[in-house]
Amino acid sequence: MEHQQDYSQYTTTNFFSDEQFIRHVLNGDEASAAYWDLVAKQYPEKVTVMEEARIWVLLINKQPAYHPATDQSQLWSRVSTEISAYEHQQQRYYRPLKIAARWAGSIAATILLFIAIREWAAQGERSYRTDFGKHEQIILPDESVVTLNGNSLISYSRTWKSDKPREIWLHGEAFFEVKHVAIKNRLQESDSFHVHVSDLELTVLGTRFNVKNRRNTTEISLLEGRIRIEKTGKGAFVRVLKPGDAFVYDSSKQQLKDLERKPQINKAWTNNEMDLDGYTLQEILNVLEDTYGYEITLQTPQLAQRRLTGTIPATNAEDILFVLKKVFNLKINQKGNHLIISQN
Amino acid sequence: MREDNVIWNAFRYGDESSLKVIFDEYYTPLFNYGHKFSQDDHLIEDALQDLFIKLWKNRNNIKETESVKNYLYKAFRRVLLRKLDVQQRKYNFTVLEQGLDWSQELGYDQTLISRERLEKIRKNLATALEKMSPRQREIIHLRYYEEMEYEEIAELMQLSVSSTYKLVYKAIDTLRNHLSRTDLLLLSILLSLKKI
Repeated sequence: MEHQQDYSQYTTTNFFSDEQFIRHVLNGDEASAAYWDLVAKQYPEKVTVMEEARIWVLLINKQPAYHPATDQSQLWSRVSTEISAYEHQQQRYYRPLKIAARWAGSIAATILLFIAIREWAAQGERSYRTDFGKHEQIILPDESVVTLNGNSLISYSRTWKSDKPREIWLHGEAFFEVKHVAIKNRLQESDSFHVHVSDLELTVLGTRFNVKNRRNTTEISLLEGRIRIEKTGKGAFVRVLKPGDAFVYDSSKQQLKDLERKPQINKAWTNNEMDLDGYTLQEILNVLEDTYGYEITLQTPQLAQRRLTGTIPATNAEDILFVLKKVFNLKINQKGNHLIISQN
Repeated sequence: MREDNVIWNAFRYGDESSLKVIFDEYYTPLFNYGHKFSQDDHLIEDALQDLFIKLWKNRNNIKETESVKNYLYKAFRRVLLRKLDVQQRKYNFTVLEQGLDWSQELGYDQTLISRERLEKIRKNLATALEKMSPRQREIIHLRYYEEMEYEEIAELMQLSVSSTYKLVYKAIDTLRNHLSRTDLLLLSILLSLKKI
């Protein structure tokens, strides 16, 4: 911008249609701002018309995009349906001929190879397992997110087709953020997401929930959306959860009942915290065993039902143990993974 | 945009999910552009549907492009204008949206200037734009709203670059004659309070 132009004859219109000026108003940077400041200083009588020109540009530029009342995803499904119909027709009547005629040699071979690799990669089952005390976040093929707590396992079939429900198997504890795929007012079986845990089947639409399956009990805590819990066979039942509901199911007694602890508390682990409200000391020790891999002997049984409230950091088990030790005045004797706990 | 081009090429090789990515990215901008020609949402929807099906069917003949945006705008414009031709044998173009709450859009404090005053200034601009031909209005929109270069606009509207320039200068003269100085002064004070 060394070559400064002569702006003495400039009117609003000139500034408005000056490319450099437009660029400055729309995408100005420090350099262009300095340049136009300089122009304003050199031509103080032009400040007003420069401002006018700036406003003209902005009045047009700052308009928000029009948002129609029509439905974007519905329009796409119309396009997609028509594409499928077209492809189907092509494959039946035209494509074989065309391919034979046109796609000779290496191009066809490359494409076949790609298809073969894709088919092969889509086979089989995927599973993720976490070690004691580790978390892992897994993004499923539909972009749903599963956060696995320590010592937990999920598995699912790699071939998630859009016309089949999504299915996943869980052992241990996980927090789910399920992507909603249903088109408004057109809910189909294929849009649902199933979690198999213990001998239950959870049917889910887009939603966020925690599932903890340890020691024959399964806790289900719902934060958003809807879940249907179904047990078939002996002791069959169906239950629908609303946000804020938390239920616990005992597979040895086959019974489902309300859980005193609220959903928000049950997912605290995903933030590396442990919210102690509603836990007895025994339950906390169970978490240390199940999620962090300790073996614990509580030598003072009367401590088992003691409670405390508050949130403690739970990045590692030492944090939790430290707090317990201080609050309950405990003596903790550690031998490798084995903790012997007694009153001090 | 490079990423755009990668997706564009994947679509050209027959990946339907890439076409969906393009659809999702351009649905709102194209709808907005279409809305400038016609307020009939269903007609615009039909044009969009035709456009994307046509893209898919012709994907083997579609070339790489420097700007996916420009390609789509041009193709969409052709589809839409053909539909409008059948319907009304002419095309219109609206630059300024009716019934917009400008005080909110510009994010200013209401105590500084009355809503009525601002509305009057906006109306003046709208009147000036009204005096232009639809083609002039479209150029104004593409340059100042879509932020396209004149070369791109000429290519999109199938005009020569020099006639695009001529059209826009005439358009700007029209603008000048219809905005009164005092209104602009007030607005300039108002806008200078808010950084661009």
